[in-house]
Amino acid sequence: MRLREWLDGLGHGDAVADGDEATAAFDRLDSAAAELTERVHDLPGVTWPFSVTNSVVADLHRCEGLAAARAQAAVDAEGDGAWPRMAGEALDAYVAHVLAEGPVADPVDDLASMWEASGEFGRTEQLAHFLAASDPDVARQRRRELDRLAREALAFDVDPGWAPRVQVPIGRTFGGALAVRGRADVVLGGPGTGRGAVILEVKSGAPHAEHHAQLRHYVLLAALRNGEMPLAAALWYPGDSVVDVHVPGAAESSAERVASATRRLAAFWEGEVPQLHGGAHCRWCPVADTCAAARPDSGGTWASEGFRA
Amino acid sequence: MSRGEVAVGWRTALADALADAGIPTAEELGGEPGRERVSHHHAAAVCAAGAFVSADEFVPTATAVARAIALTSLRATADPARRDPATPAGRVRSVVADTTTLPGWVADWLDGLDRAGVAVVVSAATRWMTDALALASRKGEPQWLDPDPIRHRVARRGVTLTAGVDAVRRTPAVHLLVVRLRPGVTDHRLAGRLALLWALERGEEPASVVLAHRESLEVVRFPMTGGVVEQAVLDAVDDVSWAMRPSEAPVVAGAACGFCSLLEVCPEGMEHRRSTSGAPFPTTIAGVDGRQDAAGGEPTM
Repeated sequence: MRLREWLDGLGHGDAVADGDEATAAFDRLDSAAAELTERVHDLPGVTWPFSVTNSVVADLHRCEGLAAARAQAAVDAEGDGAWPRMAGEALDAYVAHVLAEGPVADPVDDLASMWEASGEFGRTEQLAHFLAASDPDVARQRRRELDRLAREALAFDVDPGWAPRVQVPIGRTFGGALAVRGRADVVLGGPGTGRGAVILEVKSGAPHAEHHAQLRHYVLLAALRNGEMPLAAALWYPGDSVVDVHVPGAAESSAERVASATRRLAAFWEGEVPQLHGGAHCRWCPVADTCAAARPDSGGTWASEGFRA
Repeated sequence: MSRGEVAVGWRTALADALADAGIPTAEELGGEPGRERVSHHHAAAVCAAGAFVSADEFVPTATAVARAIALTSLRATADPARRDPATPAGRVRSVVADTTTLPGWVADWLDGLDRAGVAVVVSAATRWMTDALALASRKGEPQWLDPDPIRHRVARRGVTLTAGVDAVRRTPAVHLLVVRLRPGVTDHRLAGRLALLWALERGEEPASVVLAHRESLEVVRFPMTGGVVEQAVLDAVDDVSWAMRPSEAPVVAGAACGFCSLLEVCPEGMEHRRSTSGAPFPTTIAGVDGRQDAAGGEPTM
């Protein structure tokens, strides 16, 4: 379904939102924070509040060694995952451009201007590096991808009555101990706008199941922030394809997922050893080359592990 | 008591506290202070060294520009009946299209941007404004204030204290409102500084300072009772002292070390980073670095 059609189906976003699930999710994380404090507050080196992001939770679910390695290693800017990540960030920027100023005129120059205006000069340099790839075919392919993504972003020319915002920081700190936060790609409506909140995650690549978990995490964050469940939430993919996620239950299940991750993190503070689970994710792991559990030849794609939706 | 009398009273209290603490005057120091401007960010800094030793220059950021544009937009359309366009984005775009209502430093900054750069600013200002409306409108909209900070030139020290207050609500007691991203461990100190500067420059003693957090839409009220402002005077004395002699500002290593420009020359910060890197995960995991394992060595990451 196309984004505008999907939004039209939500009417004016004035449906009654559920506050009970938001309260239950809040209580669950408040309890997790209390448990975390009780378990580790006397241990040395603990920095409060302890921040639990969706990526940490997702990594722990895949392989605790991956989570550990990512916490310790700087992201490899030259690695295989760097260009897809940059393309995703470019799409986020194009969506912001479309919402604020209309269509992107020059995908490369405008992207550089946007990042410079944000003070993100490192990204601009990285972009120049990627577009100056020694293989001219690769460089051309990357420019074409940016052109395509800039066109795709035109789908976000939505009704301004939704008060669309991009890269919205949302989160909550519990008892000064546990911080659960993130940055939603696009938020429509919500407090201060007169409409119910709608959360959109903008994806530049192919769908897979992890995206749903991520979006449910943002539903949790929005529920914690607004004190009520969002009206709707969806993943948006190139081709103007909207995949909506069932909102009821998402906050409670995500709260349990975060609470579970928090318990594991507390266990590591107490000295427990991370468990290794090889899989497709080893392809992105900084220590896969030296890990006994690594399965670097496991197909190399999420699809091979059944992650694809 | 008149506003003038209130202001004089707090200025006297600050001057006396500086003298009691033995803070030298600029003349006694024999030169310019190490830092002339001390903002509310310094008051809220966990590590005084990180805040006071870094470069003393005002560099506008996209965040500061966005706040200034959003506040100007809110002030320009304070009357809901005159809100045309009605959406925050539309109101922000109106202000950006005619920069004469903006502070000069914001207008200058915008002049240097192309259309894509403006998109970033409009986007950030719209986000700020929508959050501010959500946070502040629960009791009816407050009086939004000029984006430029309150400034108080500390007598005979060559140091200026500054703080940005976003809105005021009069009930008729004065309640100050500041919109922030998220709470911090020094929020009580920040609230005290804001109240002190308001008293010093506006001649009113605020009944409370409300810190409103965009990330969580939480609103935390700090009543200005029980000696809070008196403590803020003492905190200001510390800040003036460190502004005059930044090298004496104490180091407090913590989470902010990772973002500190002085990290490489700060032994305490480096040690903190080393000892907490990757926490809570262990630095060694059995099964990782299998080659070392095979050689009988300690497996490490």
